[in-house]
Amino acid sequence: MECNHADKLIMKYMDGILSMEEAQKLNLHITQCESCKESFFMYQMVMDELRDEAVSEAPDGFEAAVMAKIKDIEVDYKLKEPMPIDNLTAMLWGTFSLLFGIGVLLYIYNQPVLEFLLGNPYTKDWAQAMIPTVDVLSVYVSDIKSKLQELVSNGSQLFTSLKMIAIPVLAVLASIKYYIYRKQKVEI
Amino acid sequence: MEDYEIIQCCLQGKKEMFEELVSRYKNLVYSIILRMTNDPEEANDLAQEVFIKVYRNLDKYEPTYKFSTWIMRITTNLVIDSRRKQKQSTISVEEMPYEPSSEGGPEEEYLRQEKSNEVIDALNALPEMYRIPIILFHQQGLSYQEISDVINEPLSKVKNRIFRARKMLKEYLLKSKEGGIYGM
Repeated sequence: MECNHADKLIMKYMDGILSMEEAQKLNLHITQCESCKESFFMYQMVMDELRDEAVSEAPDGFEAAVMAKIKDIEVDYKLKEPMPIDNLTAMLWGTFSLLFGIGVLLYIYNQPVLEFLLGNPYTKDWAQAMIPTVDVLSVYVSDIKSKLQELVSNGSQLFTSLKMIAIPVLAVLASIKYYIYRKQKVEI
Repeated sequence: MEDYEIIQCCLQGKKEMFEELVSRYKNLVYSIILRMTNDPEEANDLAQEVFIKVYRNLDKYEPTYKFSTWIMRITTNLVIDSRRKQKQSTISVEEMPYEPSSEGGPEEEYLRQEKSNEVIDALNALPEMYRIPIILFHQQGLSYQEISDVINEPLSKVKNRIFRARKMLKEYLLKSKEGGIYGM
């Protein structure tokens, strides 16, 4: 075995991932190579020394000393709370959702609703007057629907034709983002 | 009680609960600092400072990491800052925190102590960026990934630093062996 390979095995030994077979190879090499034997001895010494000093007991009264120091420290912790939504925003979103929901329901069930209103003597006249408006609205909505469908199909065609460019660009952007993330130090 | 629950209690104003956290992590923090400074008194002061910093920043703890990882990060950063301020003073052999062991004869003990001092000197000679990962790996038994979380550097860098640190330690010991007393 080459000394370079033995060195790699010593590193694996220090990482604690040396297999039995590798250990035997390394042992054999060390008995034959003085220089690797010496290196192994040095590395072993470092490991032993560090391991021997793994846990040192903190001095007696450590907790009391710390607690005495923090006794007078007042910290205004910023507690993480769910993102606050002010009342006005909540009301606007609520109203919008309600109107949108009613709109969608009216669009889907516009014929049964109209029939119901026409069948009622009190709302008959009003409902009849509304028929042209409902028709116009239905045309508008259908237009919007077909435009949206067109847009989606165009978009997917565009994506298909551009994906050879778009995917590498996205990959590069993702790598840059990842690099920035790794570089970002947490400030403590 | 889990660390996170204790932290939540502290954040809600139960200051006395912090003592439990100190009790759980004091030896870890103290051991790392002692190994990096080789001065028990300084290690004690800095370890206390670590806990005060932890207390002040408790709301910044993200449970994505283990609490021990977070506290080790604060510890290593604080030691680096403090060393930077002190401009790295040299530590004499007399200041080493070693007590003679009762095992073995005086000569054997002398040799053991001498070898140990050689390793300490070699470790002290390492730049901090190499010393911290090697201490965390070989002394505290952290994995490469955990060290990467503590020092906030990519895994590849951590592996490389540990590899280079070992090489540097070996070179240092080989050099000092030429004029030293211990043999194979």
